[in-house]
Amino acid sequence: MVIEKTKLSNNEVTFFSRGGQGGITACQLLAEAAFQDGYRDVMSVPQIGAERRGAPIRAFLIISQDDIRTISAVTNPDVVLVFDEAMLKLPPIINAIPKKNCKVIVNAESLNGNSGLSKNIELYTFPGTSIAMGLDLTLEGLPLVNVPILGAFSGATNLVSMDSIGTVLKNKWKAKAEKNIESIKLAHEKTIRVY
Amino acid sequence: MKNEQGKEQTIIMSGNYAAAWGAKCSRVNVVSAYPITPQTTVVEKLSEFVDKKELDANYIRVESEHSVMAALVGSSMTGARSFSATSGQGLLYMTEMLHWVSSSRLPVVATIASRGIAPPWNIWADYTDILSIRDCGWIIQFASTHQEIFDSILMAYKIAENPEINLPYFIVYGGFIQSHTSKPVRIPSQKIIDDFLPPPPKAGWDHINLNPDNPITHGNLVMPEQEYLDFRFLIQDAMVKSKEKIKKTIQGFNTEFGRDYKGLVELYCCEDADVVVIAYGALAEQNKIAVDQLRAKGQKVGSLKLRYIRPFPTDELLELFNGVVEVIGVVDRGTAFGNPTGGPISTEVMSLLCRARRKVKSLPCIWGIGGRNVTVEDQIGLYEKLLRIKNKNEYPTDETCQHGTVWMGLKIGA
Repeated sequence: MVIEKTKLSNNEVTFFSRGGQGGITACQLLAEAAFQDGYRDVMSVPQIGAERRGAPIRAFLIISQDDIRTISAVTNPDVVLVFDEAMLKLPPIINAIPKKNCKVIVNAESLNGNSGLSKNIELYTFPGTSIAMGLDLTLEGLPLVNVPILGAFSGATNLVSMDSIGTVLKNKWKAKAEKNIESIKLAHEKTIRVY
Repeated sequence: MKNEQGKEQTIIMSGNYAAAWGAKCSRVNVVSAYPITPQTTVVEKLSEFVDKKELDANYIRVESEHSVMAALVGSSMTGARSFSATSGQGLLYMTEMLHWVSSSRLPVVATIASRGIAPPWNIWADYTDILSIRDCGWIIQFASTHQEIFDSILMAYKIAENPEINLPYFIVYGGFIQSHTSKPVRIPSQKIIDDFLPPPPKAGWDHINLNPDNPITHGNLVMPEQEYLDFRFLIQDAMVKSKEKIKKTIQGFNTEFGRDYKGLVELYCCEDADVVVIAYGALAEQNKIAVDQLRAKGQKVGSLKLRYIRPFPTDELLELFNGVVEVIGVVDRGTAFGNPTGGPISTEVMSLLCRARRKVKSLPCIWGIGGRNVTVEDQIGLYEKLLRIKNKNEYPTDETCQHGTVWMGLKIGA
């Protein structure tokens, strides 16, 4: 798969997830996949405080054609990943999503016009929860969308290849990686651009 | 052990894992540790290495950081290469034993994921922990990148174990901001590392070797007229002499591994700079981006990264001050209440300004403490302040400027 060599030297991504959903792992996996794709430098930055299940958690990813010399939170992301559409109702999250020049990828069966997101962004959705439930990718009954979302990211942005994500999943989960790889393929296929 | 003689590999890992890998590849003999956020994953990873027999070391679990360092006094006295890691309150709790290590001249190496000191609880980057023990006889080096954390541990043992130095060694990086962020780290083949850093001498260190077959008394009472003063002088003397050893080790490392850490400081675009920011840790690395952006607009600005504060790079700073620089900003990610500037390093830098042959203006700044986010735009803002001092002799007067120091982001005035 040919990766779009972006004009930007840095591509900055913000992950919004809930404690227990695996957002920080997703950020780490995507960093590894991007490095496999030949980006010169990658960085995954988890923002952790008092850990609580279900509490909003942020993680930041920078993938770059140059050396990354800054370690700081991403404040103006090029891509935003939202693990749970209900998080769009939280003011600190909706306010942190740029109003333009940004791709926003939301785990949702569908999103209506009242999502609160700006019309001047590119909005994508993918049915991560039903994909995870269908493949029985769950932990203590909760659907794990942190792997399917990687397929949606690849589909919506073309910044990281499906092959590299697959390799990283195989390295991490060895024989058990199959369902995860199936989930990224399904998410990749089912990612749709809303506007 | 994996990668025993193998090829170099690049792994995406956290700053803490880079520290654990550095200790593993240095083939440490003894690890003692007590968990504390944000350091914990260093010693978790090391215990995993020991458990999987990828590292042949004794892992000593104890009930506190004070006991950690006490354990390492014992292990190092037998000639064992000894390692630990801690943070914030843990380092403070360890403080008494830090002096036992340095005054016994033991080459222990420890990494510090620096964090804000409580109360209120804070687990993010703030160097007040390490800066508050800066005079306890340990070499103190900042690592501003993940690769530097790993590489520095290999160099640290080589420097610390040199019989002319025999001083313990801290490698410091920012809690969470560096400790939990993941980046690619190159792990060289173990064979090249072993050639660079051979095992410690079997017979122990030259000056002390704890051995049940040959009992000695150590650390007993000395009367005021005896050698206490002389021992203390020798620690200062070793600190000063370590500067040359550090530079030589950095050169040797560059020859072997192809990564150049320059020296006690790293200069960036300073040759013709009118305005220079002096900083340490990850903020100094980020600072270079601001320099690039301002240079592109024709501003003659530069950046000096303090890689060491003990020993202090006196000659390097005087050389900068005796050159062409007109205004310096000194960034402290830490506090020193009651100091002339409120920050520990800016006070030390100002003490050297009076030894310079020229007049250089300065602006001390306290930045990013307790992990407060600092962006490249913030760094550019600092240069703009310094350029106003240079061009118009206008010092900042807004509410963040208190008692002659800029407290970036301050919300309450005095």
